[in-house]
Amino acid sequence: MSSDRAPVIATWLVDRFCGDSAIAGDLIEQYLEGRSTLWYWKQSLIAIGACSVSRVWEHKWLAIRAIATGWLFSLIVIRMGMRQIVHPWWDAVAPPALYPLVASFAWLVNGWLVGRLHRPYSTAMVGVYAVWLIARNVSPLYASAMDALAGVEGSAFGFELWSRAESVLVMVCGGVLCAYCDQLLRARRSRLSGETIGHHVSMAES
Amino acid sequence: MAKEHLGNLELMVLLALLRVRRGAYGVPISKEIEEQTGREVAIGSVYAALERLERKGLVSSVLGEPSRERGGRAKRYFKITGKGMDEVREAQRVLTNMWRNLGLQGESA
Repeated sequence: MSSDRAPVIATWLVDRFCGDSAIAGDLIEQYLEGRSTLWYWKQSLIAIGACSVSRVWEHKWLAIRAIATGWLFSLIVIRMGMRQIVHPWWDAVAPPALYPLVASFAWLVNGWLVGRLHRPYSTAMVGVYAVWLIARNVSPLYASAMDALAGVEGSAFGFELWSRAESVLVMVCGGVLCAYCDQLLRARRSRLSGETIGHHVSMAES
Repeated sequence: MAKEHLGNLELMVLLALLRVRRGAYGVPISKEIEEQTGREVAIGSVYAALERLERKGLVSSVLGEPSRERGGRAKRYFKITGKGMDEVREAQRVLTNMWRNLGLQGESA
């Protein structure tokens, strides 16, 4: 099924992850020619995957640096700073139930930082860091699942799964937010510099 | 300088660019590949190949004007460079040499 407006979320994601609005433009053009919503989503996901893999492959050292940056931040700020200093202090001065929000904010900053330090490939580098985080979470989650299946007292697989998945998701949101702000900033700069692209089309069509 | 290696999709994209000639952007390029190969090709994969080719200096691109039919997004027009033409000719020469004397003409798989 298709309508007269291309799926907004898919378009937004393609713009953020691919960094070239022409790709989303091509997809919209084909969608308005009668392609289905399913086709649009499939093409968008392929485009996001292809763009991210291509960028990571071309910038392997940057990808390693992104993982190292994210990991160092999570180790120093989240694991040591948040858990050992902020958490006990928070429990003393504020409702403990709100602490997960503070922890989520730290993951948001983690994603933002990885994106910010790896421009203009923010989303691809945040993506590679997310993949690394997911891979790191497999082993503890597996152990937790085994404990739950064996009926070990105190095992909390559901909570483990939720908290780890949530931290990765929030981290990715931080990275995407960074890329979005960066794109807005670049668009504003290009408008301010009075850059015109109109002459390019005549060059291409001549 | 080390020789560039062209992947299968990269070569197809370069040939599609030559076939489309003027006004070649993502949609006509992917349609041309689909018509010639009979297989659907994702626009994202075509752009990834074009990006690699541009980095190798085999194609160049310019942005057109944004249009309403494309949600206010511009088309990116691609053109093959002189170095790209050399690569296409070299790929043709190599592939022709590889096929020669194999006696596969008319054989069915």
